[in-house]
Amino acid sequence: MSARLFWLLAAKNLIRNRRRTLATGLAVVFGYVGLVLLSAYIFRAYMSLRTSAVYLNQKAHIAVMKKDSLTQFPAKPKLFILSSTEQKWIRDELALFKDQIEFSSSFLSGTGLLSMNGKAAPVSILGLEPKEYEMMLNHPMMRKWAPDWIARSSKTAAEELVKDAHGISITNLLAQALDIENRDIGSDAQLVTKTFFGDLGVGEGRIRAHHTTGIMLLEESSVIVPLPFMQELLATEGVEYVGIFLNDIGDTPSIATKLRADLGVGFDIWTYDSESWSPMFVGNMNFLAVMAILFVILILGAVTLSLVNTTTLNVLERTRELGTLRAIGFAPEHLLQIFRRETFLLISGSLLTGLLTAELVVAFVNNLNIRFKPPGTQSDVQFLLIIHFVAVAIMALLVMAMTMMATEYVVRRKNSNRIISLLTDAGG
Amino acid sequence: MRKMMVLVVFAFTQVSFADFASELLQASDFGRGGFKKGVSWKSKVVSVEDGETNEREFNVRSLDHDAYVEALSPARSRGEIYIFNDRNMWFYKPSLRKPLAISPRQKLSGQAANGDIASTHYARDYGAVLERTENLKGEKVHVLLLTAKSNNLTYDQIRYWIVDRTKLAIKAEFLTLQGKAFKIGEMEYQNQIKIDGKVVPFVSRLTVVDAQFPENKSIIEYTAPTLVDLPSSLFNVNNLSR
Repeated sequence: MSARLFWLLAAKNLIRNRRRTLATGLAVVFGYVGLVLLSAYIFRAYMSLRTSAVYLNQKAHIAVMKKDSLTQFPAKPKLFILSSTEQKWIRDELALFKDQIEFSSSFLSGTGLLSMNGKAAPVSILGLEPKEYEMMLNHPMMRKWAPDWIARSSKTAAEELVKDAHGISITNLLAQALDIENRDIGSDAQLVTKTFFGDLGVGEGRIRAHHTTGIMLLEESSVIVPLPFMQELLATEGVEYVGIFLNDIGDTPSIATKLRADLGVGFDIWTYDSESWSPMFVGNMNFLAVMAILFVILILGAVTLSLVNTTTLNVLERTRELGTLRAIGFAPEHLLQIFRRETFLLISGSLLTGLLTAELVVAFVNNLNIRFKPPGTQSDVQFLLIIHFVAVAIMALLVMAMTMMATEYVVRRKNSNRIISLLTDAGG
Repeated sequence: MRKMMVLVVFAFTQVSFADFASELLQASDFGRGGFKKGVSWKSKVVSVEDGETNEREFNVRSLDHDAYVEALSPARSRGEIYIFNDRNMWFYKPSLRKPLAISPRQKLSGQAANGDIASTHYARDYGAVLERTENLKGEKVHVLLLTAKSNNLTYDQIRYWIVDRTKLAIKAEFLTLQGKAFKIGEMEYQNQIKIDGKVVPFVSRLTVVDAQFPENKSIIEYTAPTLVDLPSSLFNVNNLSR
């Protein structure tokens, strides 16, 4: 009995039972299309969320700060600031990874008052390095995965802060609270804070741009200034944390481990996927993972049950045929081989059809340019599906594995009967 | 008729008490620089907060309700100026193009607020009610409850202990709107100043303690109070702009 004979018999059986083949095939096609579209949505969401967490939300791939600074800095900034000496240690350490690091940037935040036009508003001030900030917003990864997650005004803010060492960028809601309109861009403003010595820290700057944070809570209070200006306000040379941006995100765990070992217990090293450091990204991904697992189980379960059902019917109706084949010399293993090949041909064809159908659906949906505004984005984003072929291949393997197992189970059970039982079986 | 008489006597008593409280308050302002002539003194503020100590020195010049406060030390604060103009307060330093409006409630150093370093005009700014009379440190004291007449003052409410004999305030509880003490102050009057031929006591020390965390405190020491001629232009905030 040759393999060629088994393939031939399998193909002829599929053609012979056209209706059942079509019904089973369609079940697999729809199930697989569902899985592919789900994976396309999740892949796009993951890449966009990850990219925006690293670059847009300034979490960086790796963040270095004083131990416990994450929770303690807002209340006791003076105790948890990275001093000039500590910054030098960190820079010296980063020099060891210079081929893997694209750039690094320092950040310093605080609270205060923004005073302008005789009005004042409480604000959260973020001091950052303007050139690096511009690099983050215009990074190729941002352009590829989250181009519409940044408002144009934020990019303008970055450009303006590069030019003016005392430039101030505020949000539109803050501008409304202070009765500022766009024509007041360039107007003087004063920022008031408490320095690390407990004195009144006052600095004068100019409103250079309006930016948006994408988070409602911050829209009424966010101010961005160049880092040296923030340091001047707080009377410090220190920074809150150093963000490290890598050439390859895959290097994150190894570099983070090395930094922890070299810098010692006095520092906390956070990665972009740490829940404490990047709660929005991690929280969103956990939600997507749960949703994905649920849907995969549901879809695979439905497809598998459908396969078990049709294969069982298939075997039951062909019991006498199986008995005849056994009577003329086909061993139980040979019958199993035929059914395996039938399933393989059917599922392969269905998966290919499903993939092509999914591609058409993806192209159609992407062309519709559906816009929505998820939390954390600065403007409307397009609902995009992006097929990732590794995910598609994994889904295909899963479907194939489930259906082959279903076939194995059903056929082996029937095969265990004696030839005479198979021949006289009424098919019930 | 009798009821009417009782009501009239009662109302008169209340008015009398209110007048008495106001007069006490006005007299107590004298001991803390609240007089119409120009006066200058030096203030040293030593604050202890969370185990850390820091010191600041100021030169204060006051005329009636206005005050001009210049920071003398530490070196990083030299040149900073606080101006009290009526009930408004301004901050200026040489690097600023124009002065900044600030609140007297804002923290200056430790437990001392911006409004604590200038002279005190509680009689103008607060309504006074006599709560009780008691003994404190062997002296008969009147306890007044002061309520702010406007909301841009340093404190909303103050419970004020004024010695009957000297008419000087020796203790203050600074209260929240809900009437809970969040800071407690104690005053000493070892200084003297001559006004209109009369030598009057002048505050020498104000100790302000956090009511919840008594280890956190600020001590303001007043030295060299002197009568001086001060031009009103000194307190004009427009003269500060570059």
